[in-house]
Amino acid sequence: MTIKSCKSLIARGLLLTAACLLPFATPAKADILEVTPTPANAQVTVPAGSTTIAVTWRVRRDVLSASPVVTVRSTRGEFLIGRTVVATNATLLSRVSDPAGQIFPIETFTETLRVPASVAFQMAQNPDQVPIYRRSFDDGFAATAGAVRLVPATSTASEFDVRRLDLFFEDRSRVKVLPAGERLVALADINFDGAGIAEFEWQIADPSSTRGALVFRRLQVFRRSLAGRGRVTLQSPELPTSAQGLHIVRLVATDPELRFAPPELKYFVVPRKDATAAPAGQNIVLTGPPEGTQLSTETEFSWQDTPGAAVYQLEIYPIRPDRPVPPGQVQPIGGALLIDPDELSSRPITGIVLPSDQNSTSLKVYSLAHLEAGRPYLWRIKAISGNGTVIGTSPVRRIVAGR
Amino acid sequence: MGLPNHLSCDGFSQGRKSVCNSCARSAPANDGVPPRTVFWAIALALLGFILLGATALGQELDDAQNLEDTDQGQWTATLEPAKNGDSYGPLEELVIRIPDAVPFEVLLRLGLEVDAIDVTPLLAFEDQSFTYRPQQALEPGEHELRMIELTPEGEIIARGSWVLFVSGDAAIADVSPDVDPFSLSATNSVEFSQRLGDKGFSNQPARGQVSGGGYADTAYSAGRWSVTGNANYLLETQKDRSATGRGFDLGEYNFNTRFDGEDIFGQVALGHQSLDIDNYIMSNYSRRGLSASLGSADEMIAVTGFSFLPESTVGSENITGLGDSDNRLMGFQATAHPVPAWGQDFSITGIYYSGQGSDGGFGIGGESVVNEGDGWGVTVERFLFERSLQLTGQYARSNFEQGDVFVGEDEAQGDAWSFAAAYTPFQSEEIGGEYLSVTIGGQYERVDTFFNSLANSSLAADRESVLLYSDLNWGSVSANAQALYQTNNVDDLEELPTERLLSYQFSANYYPTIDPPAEDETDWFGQPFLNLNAGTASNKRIKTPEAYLGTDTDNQNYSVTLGGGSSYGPWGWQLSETFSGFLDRTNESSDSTNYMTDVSANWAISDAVQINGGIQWSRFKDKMFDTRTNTINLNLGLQAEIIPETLDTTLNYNLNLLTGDGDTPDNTIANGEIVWTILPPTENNVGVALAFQGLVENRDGNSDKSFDGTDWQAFGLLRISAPVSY
Repeated sequence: MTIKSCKSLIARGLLLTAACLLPFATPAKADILEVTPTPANAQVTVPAGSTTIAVTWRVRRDVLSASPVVTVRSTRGEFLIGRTVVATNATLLSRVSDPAGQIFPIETFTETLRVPASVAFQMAQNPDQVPIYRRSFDDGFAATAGAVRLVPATSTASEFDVRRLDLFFEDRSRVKVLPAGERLVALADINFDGAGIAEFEWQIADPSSTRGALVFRRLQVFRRSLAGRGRVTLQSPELPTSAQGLHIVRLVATDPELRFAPPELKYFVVPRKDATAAPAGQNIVLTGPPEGTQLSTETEFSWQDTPGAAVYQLEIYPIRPDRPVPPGQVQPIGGALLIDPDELSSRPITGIVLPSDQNSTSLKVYSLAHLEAGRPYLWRIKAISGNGTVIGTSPVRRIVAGR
Repeated sequence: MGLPNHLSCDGFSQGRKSVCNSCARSAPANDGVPPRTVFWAIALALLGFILLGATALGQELDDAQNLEDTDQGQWTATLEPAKNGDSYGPLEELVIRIPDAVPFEVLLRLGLEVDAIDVTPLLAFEDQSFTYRPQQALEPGEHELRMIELTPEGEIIARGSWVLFVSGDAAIADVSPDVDPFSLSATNSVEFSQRLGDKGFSNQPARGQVSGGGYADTAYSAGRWSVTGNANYLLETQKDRSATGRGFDLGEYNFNTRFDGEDIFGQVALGHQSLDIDNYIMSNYSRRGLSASLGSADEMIAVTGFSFLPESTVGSENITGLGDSDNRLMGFQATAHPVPAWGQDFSITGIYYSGQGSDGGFGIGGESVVNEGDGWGVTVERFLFERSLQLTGQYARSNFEQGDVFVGEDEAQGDAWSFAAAYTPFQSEEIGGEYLSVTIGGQYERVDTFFNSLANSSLAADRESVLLYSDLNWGSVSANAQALYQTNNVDDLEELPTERLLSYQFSANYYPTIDPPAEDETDWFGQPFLNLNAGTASNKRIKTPEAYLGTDTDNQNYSVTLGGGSSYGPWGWQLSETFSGFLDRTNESSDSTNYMTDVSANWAISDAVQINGGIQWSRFKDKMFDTRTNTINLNLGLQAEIIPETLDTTLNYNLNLLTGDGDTPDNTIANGEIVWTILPPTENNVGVALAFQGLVENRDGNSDKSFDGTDWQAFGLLRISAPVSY
């Protein structure tokens, strides 16, 4: 018997032994051959906080038995700088894998995750160490890992994305209870990465939906070119305050889509009461002059009556000599001026006080003498009750001092 | 004819009661001066006394002569002294005596200003004296009072000019006993609603709901002390609709106590508040917490300490904002005008903070991270050449920890500093028959890559920039232009690329004055306005690390908006057209363009009926995928008072169409209410109203009928409101 024959006998014996033992072995055997992430490289914004990335994991198995139905899972993801785990993502990825006759079935998992700002910071601090995001997939028999290479990028070079959205009313409050008819505007401070044309919607849920099924209607849909400093302030149109009850207002980015729930502001409209007890709100309706009028002694200021007013005070304020609106900041177009609430906190530069039976006036020459010809100013009307309480104010308009 | 000593223009009136503007103030005494100087000072004082005595004698003679020559305008008014003899009360009547011989027609030409506000329409005239009673309490401190005669020729003649000192003393405030120092104003509204019917909507809550809200404002003043407070609350039986997840909860509140002394002021504020602080460390920061300020009455020096909850919050939990030591931000700001000769034209401001907590919260979307850090900053501001030149320098340093850091330094450090200059070479110069004002300015700014402040979360870090700008106002035209050059990777991190941003922006507004509006067939056109906004911004990679695996950067944004409109009495309209474009030369992302047309109008048809409407029409094109999307959003509104003070209605209609590639179902929403006021709410009297509200939503899937459907819901409700005032 040759050596070759002996080897053949041994091999056959081993195969026979294996065949005899097979019924006693685990009924299904499988192994994960490979884990491939897409994209292989993901950009992470370094200075601007956390970054959202989307990763698709392709997990290829090698099936050794006829019915290898197993559960493929990854219990967590790990961020590594070099060999050190610096953060983890506890999101479980799990799926029952049925090869359906395939020898090398592929399971696909997609996840969207945030790379913590601390990871980005450590990436920048340690340029000599490779940063990765790693996941290990296990089918109960063996585990194999795959990794996405994290690449530092500036905010400018990052994917176009709205990263933070801060909503507030003009007076910087976030919850308001106000009388019907009072002017109300919301503002949004937005931080973004990258550049592009973004689409936004100001949406409102009126009391006819907040007391039942919630339905948001679109107050305004607009697109805005965003680039540059990574920050912009947007102003809503005037919010509805005629219907009483709870309103919910929000700003939704539809392109690029928000990767977080849009924040909301709430306001409750109460009935207007006798104005002697009304709060100081922007509830005086101006009827003239229009925005940007050139002021002269002929210019007539007029407004609608405020019940309960003892006197009206017309006030003219200087415009704060701030530097102009930076690129990408709010640019009012024809509509209401965006006024910093602090703008009108100082004493007016001039004005006039009138009894309540007068709802129009012009200014005398000696009042205009306080103004510098050609310069723009802001003006408004205040309603003051008999006990000296301010019970109403008008919106602010701009006026230009004439000769 | 003698004037009261403390009101006369005799040069001795240095008390705080009232000072004639023409009077010179005496110099303060100087300790330790040599005897020879004292001798000359006494001699000069004697000489001055003699001269002043002669002047006073001459003044009396002049006064007598003036009264005889009133037709020539040679007279002056006199202000009656304060009732308490020392200072005026905040609401004390101001009485101005007019010489008897002043003709009646001259009286009709007189005007009175208090702090430059014309109070003439409120003057009463009796016994040859004008009396003005302030409607609002004058703040403690100095106030200017001026009596003017406006001649038929348009000439302005000052007939008296005084500086009053108003005290906040309780005793003096009591001079006006009919004013209550305490006031309270509150409104509460509760609505009991019942869903009468509905179709289609899922996730409907219980049919019966209670919803409500209210607010209160209060104020109290006693002498130099004043206290103000305000708060609101919400009531929602649907807890997921409430602001805090609770059925009944506080919203936001603020209490403020202030002391205004003769030499100092102090203030303590608790609750939601925004401090007047704007620098790299803290900007536009509005949070719940506690602050305390102390300073000199003339505000030459002031210090503010603060402790805030970094997370934006509403509700009664952590009601003071101070209850969680692991979620707190503390610090102070001090401002001083250290050079008396420069007064308010020179200031130094310092700020320091330290804290930890979340930068998210109510109203803020995005990842909420618990951060820890501290920082400090200094701002120096100087005005020169009659305030035509403003120089501002700012420096700040931050230390910041973002979550857990295991490799390398655990704290990011960064500096931020800037220098800005603004110069106004033309201030109301007349050119071409119109007045011209021009301001030009520039700013250099550097914010390190890892500069970060918990009190200024939305600050964009990592930029070094130069900004040049100009503002112009010329008659009815105003314009602004600016150019910005900016680079990033300020810390020069070797694995990080560097880009530059080049941005140009221009805006102009034209408000022609049609004065007076012609009452002919064109007067309906009203007062028109036009505006233009244009800008472009380009980003380009200027430095790429070796073997860099990231994408390249080379893109450009551009946008032009042309708008206009008009307003006239009860109606107004406006139209704007915007073209925006984005061009990515690296082809990493898609080029795109968008045209947006926006039209809106409002019309008060009568006192009882107002309508408004607007439409936005957007045409978006994605060039890489060759897709086009058209969006139309139409809004119409109607408010009508059907029966005055009894029956009114509000209706809204919204149509949203998305067509082209990515077509979605058309969506139409109509909602409204009709309110029957049974008992109108009045001060301290309950108001009762019944209302019917409803909403209908229609979806039209066009070719895909599976999306078609109409859902609706209708409610009946009882509304009870209770305004309270004291």
